[in-house]
Amino acid sequence: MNDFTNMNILDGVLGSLFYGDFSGLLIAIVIFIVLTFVGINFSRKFSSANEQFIRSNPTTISNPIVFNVSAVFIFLAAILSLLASIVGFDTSYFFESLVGLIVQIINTCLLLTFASVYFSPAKMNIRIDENSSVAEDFIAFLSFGLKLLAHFSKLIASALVIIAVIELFYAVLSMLGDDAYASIQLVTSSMGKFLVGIFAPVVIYIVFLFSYPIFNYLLAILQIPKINR
Amino acid sequence: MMNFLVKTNDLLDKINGYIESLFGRMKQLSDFTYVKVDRFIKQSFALAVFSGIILMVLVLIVSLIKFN
Repeated sequence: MNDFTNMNILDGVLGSLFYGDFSGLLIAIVIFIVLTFVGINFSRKFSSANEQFIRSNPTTISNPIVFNVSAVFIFLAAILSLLASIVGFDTSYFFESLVGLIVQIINTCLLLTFASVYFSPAKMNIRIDENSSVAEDFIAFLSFGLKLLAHFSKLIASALVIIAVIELFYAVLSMLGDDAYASIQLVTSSMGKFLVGIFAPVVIYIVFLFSYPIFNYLLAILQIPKINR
Repeated sequence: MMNFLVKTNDLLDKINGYIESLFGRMKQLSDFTYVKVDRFIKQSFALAVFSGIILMVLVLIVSLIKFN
């Protein structure tokens, strides 16, 4: 459906371009810029709302050991993959190896950022409580993924926008070449990715809003035996 | 025999202590990266957005030159 819509927009823009009509492209760019600024405004508000979601939904675990062990594994995976990339650096393919190394450094930084959250579950409003039952621990583990998504909504948005901008830059460069159709296709796909990135916190908010109540209901059920105790 | 067992136990405790301090260092490095990445993301987002808009204007200019 998305590809079909993309192709229709693309055909419309390309068709008008080949006939020397730039109004389609101009309208697309104006809509893109307006959506970008509106999206940034929404994105900021929804990022704060996502953080507020985490603050207002505490969970408990009896022992943080599973998070700590996961953090150590994530840390080791990050460092070992970086070391493998450094060891595997091939000077005969310098440019490709350099790009690979830069991507790996970014990957390592992201993995270390995730590891930091696993080392300190308190960042996700997970409280260590010795009286926490196994079921409450289980809910804390299950809900952790969703909280992680909400916490890193800004990071996900930024990553998508940066990737889209790199693609757009490549598209502009290739537009100067011969294959105009492919480059316009790349422009539309990177525009789409850019807008998805801008609106990512909104999407994550909606996902959180419709998924997290399941955990609230489960936690509420667990509170019933504690009433009047 | 008892002395050997005590020494082995001490050695295990020592190794455990080293591993714990290693985990502490891992946490420190992860937290440091977390703060740096967070700061970088805040700065790079604005830059990426404006670059995106400038690139879109460039697409329009290049199209005008290329297809006109």
